[in-house]
Amino acid sequence: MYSTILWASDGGPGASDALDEAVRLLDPGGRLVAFHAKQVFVGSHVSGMPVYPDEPEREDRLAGIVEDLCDRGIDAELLIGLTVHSPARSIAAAAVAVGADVVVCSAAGHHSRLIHETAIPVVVVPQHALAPSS
Amino acid sequence: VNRPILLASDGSPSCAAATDEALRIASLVQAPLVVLTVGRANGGWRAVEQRAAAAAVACSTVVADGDPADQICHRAGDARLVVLGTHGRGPLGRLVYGSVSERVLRRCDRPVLVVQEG
Repeated sequence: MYSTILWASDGGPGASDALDEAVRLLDPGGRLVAFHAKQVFVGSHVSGMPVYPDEPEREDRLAGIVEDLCDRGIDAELLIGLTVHSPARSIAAAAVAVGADVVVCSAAGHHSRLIHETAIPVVVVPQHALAPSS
Repeated sequence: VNRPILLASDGSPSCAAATDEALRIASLVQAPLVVLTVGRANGGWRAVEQRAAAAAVACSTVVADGDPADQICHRAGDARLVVLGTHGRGPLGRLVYGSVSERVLRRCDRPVLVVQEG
């Protein structure tokens, strides 16, 4: 249904939330860009430090997911964007940069701001979505 | 059986982008389209039905009353996807008028496609 999808994830334990939906929405031969907005602090002694203490694990988790997608024959890549302000704005900018037709994210994420930050359609997937039957 | 695409729309021009996207997806995946209109029923959904027919998409319409977000979440059922438009009000507008799309996103248990209108 879409040739280029930006799948936004915070890389947390539920990192693959919404991934199945993103894959379902992807055209055969389409491109899936996994995007992670890496939030960092700004300030005198914490400047540049990630907001999430487990940031390296989050990035590793996403890299593993993308590797699995590639093994499944999906054209996938991981894009990590540094942000000091709004992850939603960072996601919106990344979507434009990669030419995404749609952004897919979990309802646990930054969707509330994201839908007002981007003109690109956004699919928000609830964590308790029903399993697909078709 | 393909699960339906649920389009929340009154068929008015202010829902044009969401309508286009819902019809495109329904046609691609050969899913039936359900048009949900809540509140002021102005018959605008008939234009959507005509376009669906032209695209060989099975289409039905539900006209309901009540709170739009409640109705959309209630009627989402086992929809494959819920499609709705958003009008991009600023923070003040959202504070004053609320945002149906935000409330749907918080409560709906189906994937929701939000399409920015105009």
